[in-house]
Amino acid sequence: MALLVPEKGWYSKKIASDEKAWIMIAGVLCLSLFALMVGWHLVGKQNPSFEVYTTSPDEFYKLAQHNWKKIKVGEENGITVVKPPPGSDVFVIASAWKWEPALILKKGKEYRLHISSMDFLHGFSLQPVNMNFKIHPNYDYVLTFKPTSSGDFRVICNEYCGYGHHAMIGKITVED
Amino acid sequence: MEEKKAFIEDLLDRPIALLILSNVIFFGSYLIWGLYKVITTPPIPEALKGIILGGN
Repeated sequence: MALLVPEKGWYSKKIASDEKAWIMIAGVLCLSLFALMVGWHLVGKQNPSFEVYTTSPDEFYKLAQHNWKKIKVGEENGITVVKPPPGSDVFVIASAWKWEPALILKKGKEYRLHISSMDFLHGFSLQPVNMNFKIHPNYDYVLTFKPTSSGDFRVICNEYCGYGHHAMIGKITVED
Repeated sequence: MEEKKAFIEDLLDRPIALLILSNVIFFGSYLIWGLYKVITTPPIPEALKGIILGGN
């Protein structure tokens, strides 16, 4: 709000050409930033998925169990470890307070990660690359995922989910 | 008698109206968009379920 009330008839007064130019520059800049915000969803490399399905915790759990049975390679601290074939669908469950399964993936190969929560809102946060996605119950969130570097990565929860929140750490191993 | 102001002039002279309007437009748009997304989200395709559950 201006400090002083504008003088009467300001609306019909001619705008100075330099002021008009600055208004135009600011307008174009605003519209460009807005377009960039939308456009980034199409050209960015770490964007949320457009592929989401409705499901239920029971259905998703059943699908995950069937999926893991075919690709299970072991267990680590009571957590299933899976090694899905490149290009396949792999189901990941978030629940209080763990990520299951631990994944072994191949560098440069594409995977379709289906992620859902069994209870309440969790946050899939891949570290140290810092990719973050909200994981809601009743929705199958499909992430097309292509690891570009090998090594051990951690998945932490970045939506506060109770007293075990800080211990909710998953593991993704990317092999060469 | 005071001269009648143009609609846009009258609006630009009301900062509180502009403040409310600029919030209400975004609130309304996002609300409608969100409801649309929630209503139109499809269930997991049967074909995918068949692939996952099949053969067991």
